[in-house]
Amino acid sequence: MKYLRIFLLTSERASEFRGRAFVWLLVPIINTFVLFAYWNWALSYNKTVVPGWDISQLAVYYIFLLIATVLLVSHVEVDVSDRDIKEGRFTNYITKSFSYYWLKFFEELPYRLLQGFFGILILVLVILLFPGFIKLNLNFMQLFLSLVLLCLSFFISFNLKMILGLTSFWMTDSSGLRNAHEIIMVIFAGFIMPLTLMPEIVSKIASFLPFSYIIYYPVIAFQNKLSTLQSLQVIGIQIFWIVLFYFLYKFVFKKGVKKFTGVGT
Amino acid sequence: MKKYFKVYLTIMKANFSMLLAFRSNFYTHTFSALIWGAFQIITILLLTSRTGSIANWSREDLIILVIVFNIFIGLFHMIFSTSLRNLPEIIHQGELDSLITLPLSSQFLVTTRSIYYPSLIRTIVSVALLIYLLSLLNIQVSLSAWILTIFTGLLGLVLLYSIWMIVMTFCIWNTKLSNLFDFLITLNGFSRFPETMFQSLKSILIVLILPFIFAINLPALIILNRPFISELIFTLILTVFFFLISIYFWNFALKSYTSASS
Repeated sequence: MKYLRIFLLTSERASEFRGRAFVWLLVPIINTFVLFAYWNWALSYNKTVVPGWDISQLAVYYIFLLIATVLLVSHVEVDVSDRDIKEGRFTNYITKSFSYYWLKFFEELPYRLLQGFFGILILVLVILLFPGFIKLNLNFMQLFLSLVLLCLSFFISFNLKMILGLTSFWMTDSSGLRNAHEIIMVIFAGFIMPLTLMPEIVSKIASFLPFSYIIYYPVIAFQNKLSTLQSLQVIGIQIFWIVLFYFLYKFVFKKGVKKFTGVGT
Repeated sequence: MKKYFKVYLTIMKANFSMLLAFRSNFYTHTFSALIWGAFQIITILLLTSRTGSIANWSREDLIILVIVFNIFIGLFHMIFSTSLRNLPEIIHQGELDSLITLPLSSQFLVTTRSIYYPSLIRTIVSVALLIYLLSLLNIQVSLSAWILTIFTGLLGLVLLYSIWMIVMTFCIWNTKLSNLFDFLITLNGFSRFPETMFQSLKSILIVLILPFIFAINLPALIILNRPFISELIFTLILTVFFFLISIYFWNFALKSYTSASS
C-alpha cells in the first residue's frame, strides 16, 4: 500500500512535467527517423541488401524500437547517482522503513508509463495515417509471452541502472562510465539496426550481453519474429539477468552504504 | 570588440583554471568525448557493413564526413553547448540578473560562460584521424580547399549556435524544458549523413533539418572535392538569417524575464 502511494504521488509529479516528457520522446523519434531514412534509401536502391527484411518491416521495427526505448529503458541511475548519493538525499531514504530498491522502482515507473503512453499515441497516429501498415499477427500465447518479455525487460534495465547509479559511492564523477554504458547499449541492443543484420561477431557478442534482452527481443517478439520456444528461451535468459543483477545490486548497495557519508542532510 | 575579446580571454583562463583544479573530472569527460566520437565512426561502419555506400557516398566518404562532424561538433561543444545547457539553470536560479545588468551583451555572456575543454581533445584527435585517412586514401586537398573548409566549418558553427540559441531561449518562459538541450544534440545527428540521403522525404521535413545537415556537410563536400557552391550560398543565407533572429529573439525574450529575487 505504501508503495502504491509513492507510485501515485510520483505519477502526479510526472504529469506536471508533461512538456518535458514530450521533449524526451522527440529524442528517440529523431534517432529512429535518421536510421529509417538510411534504410529507406538503401532499400530503394537495392531491395536485397537486407535479407529477411523489407522497408515496411524495418519501419515497424523502428517504431516498436521507439516505444521500447521510452517505455523500457530506465533512467534511475541519474537520480541515484546525482541526487541521492552526491547531494546526500540518500540519508532520507535509508532512514525510512522502505526498501530503497522498491522506492526507486515505484518512483521510476510513472515516468516510463507516461513516456510509453506518448509512444503508444505515436503508434496510434501511424496506424490511423497508414492503415494496414502495422499488423500485429500474434496469437494469444505469443501476445502473452511478448508482454511477459516486455515486463522482464524493464526489470533488467532497472536493476542494471541501479547498479550503475550506485557506483557513485566510489566515484565522484560516473558520467564516463554512464556514457560508455550508453554507447555499448546502443550498439548491442539493436538501436542502430536489427541484430540479425549486424556483422556476425557483433550479434554473437550481443547474445552474451543483457542489452539485447532489454530492447531487441521484445521488439521482434511483437513483430512475430520469435517462435513460442524462442520466446521461452529469451524469458529464461531474462530471468537469469534479473536475478544476477539483483544480487549484484544487493552486494554493491551493502558495500556502498558502509562507505556513504551524508554531510549536513 | 576589443572589450569582448578581453572578456572572452579572461573567461577562457578562468575555465582552464577550473579544469586544472578538477583534473579527474577532465580525464573522465575527455574519455566520454572520445568514446562518443568513436561511436559515430562505429555507427557508420556497422551501417555500411550491409550497404557499402549510401546516396552516392562511399563508405570512405561517409567516414570522412563523420570525422569532419567530430571535428566541428567537438569545437561546438567546447565553445557553446555547456553554456547553453546551463542556461535554464541560470534563469531558474536568478543568476541572469547579474548578467543582464553588466555593460556587455547578455547573449554574449550567457553563451560564453563555460568552456568545455575535454571536447577540444575530441577535435584534435579527429583532425589527426582525418589527415591520416586522407593520406591513406590518397585524397589531395589543396591549401585553398583547407582554408575554405575551415571557413565553412566555422560558418556551420555559427549556424548551429544561432539555432541552439533560439531554441534554448524558450527556457526563459519555461525553465522545465531544460531537456531541449538533449533534443538539439539529437538534431545535430542529422549532419552525420549526406543531404542526398534525405531527398526522398517530404519537403517540409527537409526544410526543418537542412540547416543541421549543411552546417557540417559543407566542409566535407569541399574536402571530397564535390560540388558545394549552391550549399555554400544556402548556408551563408541561413547563417545570417538565423544569427539575426537569435539576437532579436533573445532581446524579445528578456522582456518576459522576471527575476527570482536575486
